[in-house]
Amino acid sequence: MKNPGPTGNRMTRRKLLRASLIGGAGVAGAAALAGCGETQIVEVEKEVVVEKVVTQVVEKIVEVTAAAEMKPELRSANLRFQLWYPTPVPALKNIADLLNQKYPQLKVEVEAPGDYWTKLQTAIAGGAAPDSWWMNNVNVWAWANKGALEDLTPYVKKDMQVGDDLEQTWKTSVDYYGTFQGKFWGLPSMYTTVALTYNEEMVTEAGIPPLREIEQEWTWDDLLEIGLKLTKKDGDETTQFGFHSTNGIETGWLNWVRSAGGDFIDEDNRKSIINSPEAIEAFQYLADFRLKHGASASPAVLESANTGQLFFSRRLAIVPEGSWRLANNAKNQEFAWDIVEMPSHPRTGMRGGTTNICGMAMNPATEYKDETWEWLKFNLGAEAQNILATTNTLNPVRESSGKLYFDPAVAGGPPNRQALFRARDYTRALPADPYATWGELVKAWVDWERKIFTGELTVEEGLAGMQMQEQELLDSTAP
Amino acid sequence: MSVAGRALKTFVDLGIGSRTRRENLEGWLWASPWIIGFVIFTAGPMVASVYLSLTDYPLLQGPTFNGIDNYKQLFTDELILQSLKVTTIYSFVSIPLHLVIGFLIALLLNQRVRGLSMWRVVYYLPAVVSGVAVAFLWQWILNADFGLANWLLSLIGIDGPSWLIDPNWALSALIVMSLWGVGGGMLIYLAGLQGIPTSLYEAAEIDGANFWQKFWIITIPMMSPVLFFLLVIGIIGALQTFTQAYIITNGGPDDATLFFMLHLYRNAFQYLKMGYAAAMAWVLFAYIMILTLLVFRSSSLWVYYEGDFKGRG
Repeated sequence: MKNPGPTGNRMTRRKLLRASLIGGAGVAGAAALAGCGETQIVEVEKEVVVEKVVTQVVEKIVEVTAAAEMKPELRSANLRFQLWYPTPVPALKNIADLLNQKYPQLKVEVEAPGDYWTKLQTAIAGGAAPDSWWMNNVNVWAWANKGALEDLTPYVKKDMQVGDDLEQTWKTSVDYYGTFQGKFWGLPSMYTTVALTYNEEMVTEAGIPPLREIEQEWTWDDLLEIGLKLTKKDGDETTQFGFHSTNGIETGWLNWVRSAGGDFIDEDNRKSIINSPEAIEAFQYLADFRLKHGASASPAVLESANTGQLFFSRRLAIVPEGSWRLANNAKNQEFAWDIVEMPSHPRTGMRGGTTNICGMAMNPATEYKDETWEWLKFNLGAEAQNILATTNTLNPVRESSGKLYFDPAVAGGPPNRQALFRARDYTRALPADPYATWGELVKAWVDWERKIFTGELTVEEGLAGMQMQEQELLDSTAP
Repeated sequence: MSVAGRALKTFVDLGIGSRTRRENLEGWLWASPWIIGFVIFTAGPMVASVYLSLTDYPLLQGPTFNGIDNYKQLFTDELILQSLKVTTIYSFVSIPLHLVIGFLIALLLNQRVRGLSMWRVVYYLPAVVSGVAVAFLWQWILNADFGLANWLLSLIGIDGPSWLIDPNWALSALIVMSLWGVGGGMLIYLAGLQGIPTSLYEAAEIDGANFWQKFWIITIPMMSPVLFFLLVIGIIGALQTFTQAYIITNGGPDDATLFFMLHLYRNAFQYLKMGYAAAMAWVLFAYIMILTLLVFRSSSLWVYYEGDFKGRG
């Protein structure tokens, strides 16, 4: 079965709408002209009402026409879609219901099983995988290389609607799903950005202005000064941590390395460049917060409480967090908090950012490819993307929906929510490799990172080891 | 004779249809649910894993034969050695501890003490709690700051270590934690202790034997089959340890708790090397078999079976 595409002679939605509006305006104009002898107000009201009715009718016709022209060929299907992250499930179920209203023959079951990746891989091997699933940019290339994803390029090429949608989508996200080997391996749906979350009450108490007010000009040096000012100690023991500096790769060191001008893997994704002077500077800056100043929580403290718990129990003032935390953090009404962009590096003047881009991929073995394509495509449309925005789910990739999502008036606090949108300007994706899996990449750095941040190794020693191990991995996995 | 007649004669000649044969068939029939399950879910996958161990199988696409490459790679994988080391140390320390502590508790619970049933339940109860729940529970007990373990140590003036985040202590922590399940062995010991004929102790008492003499000369030899059983089961179980390391330490810190099974799991599902993981599984199987055979071979030296008159005149 083929997906119907727009044809040259067919009455398109836009043409029909334009023709009908002209007709509607004519009717309304005639009605206004016919209203002689009555008051002007009544005539104007009539005009508005007529226009409104005409518009509603036209929109209805357009909807019905659009549905009728596109979908009768779709088979009846109960599709399964899986993702690893439960937060978007309600929004996605909502989207699935809308799809079902539009095409009653399509039902989509949205699931977020625990141990997602293991189960999905096993299900793929066993031929029992869902029709479509969530991928992220750190896995999509390796999975595409292994033939686990349907090549969506033919669908994208023949479906003008999705072409329009992709043009209105954040370009970085399209690049990750649409440029590897020159093909589309999924449609982007959501992404993350990183900023610093801070306790505004603690900041004010310390005599510091709200950080959003100094956001444009603040640098690493300012953060160090503020972080130390916000650190409180009782003897040797830190009772309030000023800044959490050791937060893994995505919300931690990679942002600082990038801000200093370095990165983890080179642009060709084949060379580890983590042992650079820029990275050494960044790691040293972060390690000092913990090891030299006691301003960042130790592993022993983090064994008892994660950074979110430390922050909301008022034991931590500033913590780097991803946008996925917004929905959960919004539940906190205990104290005033806000977010602020990462500070810029004093020398490079750059800020650093990291994103993980989530997309929807199709199972190449699904028996309902056209139907699954409708589901994937629907999620990129304005209707679905706006649902992600207004339900405060996660950054939607569609630019117009993104504006809604980052608007505190629409999606709720914090006041400086736009900081996560501005972060896109300097954000780069998490490192990925077409051959090594994400699990292998993580394994190669995680022990070195721990040794650096516990002071077991100097930054230079640790990064030398990290670079060597990553390079060995990249060399060994290359074809 | 017709074909049907010849078939019937053959059937009768073979004894099929006789009572013995019928009983045999019934026996197989009753055992068939287990046999079918074994063939489908155990023997079949085992045979398949032999083949998979000779392939490059990234799980997301089909396997391709690569001979003994996976087995060769085992010798160059540094983490294989580390995971074997971790698993062996854990097994060689935890198994004797289990055997001794389980036995001591069983001896205590074999006495006539007040509330005996309650004590037996109390000591056995932890063994029925699921591994995952136990792992989470011990995560809190071993917490460096607020954990019960370090609080108890502080009462006697000891500043407890960071059990789960210090590479020097993490494996010890998991060994201590494994003792949580000592009740399982205790129950088997208890059954064994109650199976020792009291006449043996009575005869020894008449001969003037004291407590220790009765213990060494009657209890230990009579319990040796139970010890043997628990030792074999313990070796098989300990060498396949996975849950604690997966949930609590995730193999860290610094691979200090990288058990063989965890490394195998990562290769299969995180690094997409199912063929290599299958080869690892066979290496572990061989390791378990060798240790088990050694225990079996040595059993003639230290396991006493009643009615076994070998060596007697």
